[in-house]
Amino acid sequence: MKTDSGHNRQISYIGGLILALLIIGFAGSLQLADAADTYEIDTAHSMILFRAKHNGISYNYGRFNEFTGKITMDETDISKSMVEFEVKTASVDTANDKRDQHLRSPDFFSAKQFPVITFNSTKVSMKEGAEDVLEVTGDLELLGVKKSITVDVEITGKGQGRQGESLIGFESIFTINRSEFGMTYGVGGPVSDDIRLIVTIEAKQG
Amino acid sequence: MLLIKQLFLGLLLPALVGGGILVIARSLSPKAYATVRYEKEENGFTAWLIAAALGVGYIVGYLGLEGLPTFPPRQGIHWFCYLAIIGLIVARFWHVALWGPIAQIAISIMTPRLLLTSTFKHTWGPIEGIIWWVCLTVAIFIFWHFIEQSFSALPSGASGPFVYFGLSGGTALILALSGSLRLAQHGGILVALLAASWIITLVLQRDRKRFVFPRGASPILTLLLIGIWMNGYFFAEVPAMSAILLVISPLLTQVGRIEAIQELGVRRSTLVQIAAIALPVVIAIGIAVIRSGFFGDNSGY
Repeated sequence: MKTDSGHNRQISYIGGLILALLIIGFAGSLQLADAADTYEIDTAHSMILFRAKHNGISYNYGRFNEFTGKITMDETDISKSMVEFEVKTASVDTANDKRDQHLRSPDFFSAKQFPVITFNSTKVSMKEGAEDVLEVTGDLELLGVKKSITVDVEITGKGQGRQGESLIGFESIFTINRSEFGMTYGVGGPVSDDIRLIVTIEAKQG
Repeated sequence: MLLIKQLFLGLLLPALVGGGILVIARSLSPKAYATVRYEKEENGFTAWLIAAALGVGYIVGYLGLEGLPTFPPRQGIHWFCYLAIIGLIVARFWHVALWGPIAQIAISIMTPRLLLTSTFKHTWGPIEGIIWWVCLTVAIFIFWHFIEQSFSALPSGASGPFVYFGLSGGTALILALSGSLRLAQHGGILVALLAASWIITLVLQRDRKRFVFPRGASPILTLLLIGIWMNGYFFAEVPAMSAILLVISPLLTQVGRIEAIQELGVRRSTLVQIAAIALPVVIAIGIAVIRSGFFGDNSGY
């Protein structure tokens, strides 16, 4: 009986030790997860604008009203940071209903066929020689064509909101050639091939 | 400059290529034009060449406007070039027993699934998707039958290309009014090809060679029209009623089989047939005009 009782005690000690190790391991993993902060894009304070040249004469601006996105920022190791974006093509808005309808058609965004434009980062690094500027490489998918692009993203500010939530701001201005994504209608004519995108983001820690 | 380039590549060049093939077909076998029954095997190649005038002419126009098609096709429009190629292959063996019906059933089933991949993925649920697929398959199969029958129902040689010239013209106009000038350009390629066919047919008729579209032209015409209409309805803003009216219009060539109409004589019965086909096309255009806000106070851009 004595022997059995000692054996049971030994088992309970080992069990306790395993449980303690598991708790320490779990706490450690939580600590690691904390190093990367996840932010959700606040669409009320964010904007995706685009600019195209009309007939080679003037710049016309438009925006996408609906988009979602998530940013994971790892301040300790920036290469572990990530950016994900999804933009609803049907939400294109140039303040002219006729033009918006045309932009949603198969001539441009073909919004019914390709409801979203996506961007998923593949590499994030600090830009050399620049303070608070990230170099983000990722796959931009438009009209079913996925292309890798690299853009500079400026961290415009960090702080806290009214309810104490962490906020972070970004801005990126870059140019793409729409014909590279198969959007060829009107190239060389009324609408320029090169489209400048102005992405300005405020994100809330989720 | 771009407009001139597009007019040349999308209208003139396909018309020249398609028209050239038609003239070659005639010089190869003038007797083939004597009757509608030139589906006979000995005339198979010539009949195919006439069908090929539409298919090759369209491919030339497509390449001019869009460049080389991607494979696999990404956008619905990318399928048009492949539909023309499929039409050319099917047309070559159209006179071979069983080949036609088997190809017709297979293509009617596959076309909606391939052209509307994104709609199946993003818009329709599983049940809705299956219902649409079945309905579209049946509609394509029946429409194909309408087109094939229309070639023999139209009495005058030139009336065939003329009727489809009008139908393609209506299609291009409706697409332009429904927000897609790019799709309208593809309708425009068909307009140019059928106008060339019509003019060449009129010239051929002068030396009393009757010229009728071979039944083998039906795969090419069906696939291209269906492809353009499906893109127009599902991806642009073509009104549903306009699309339905365009689809049923070739059926109305059958009024020429009514005895009372036949008794009017060839010229008058042809006019009645053309008027019967034109009516739904004109209504379809009218609906598209109203829906486009053409007469509203929209400022345009």
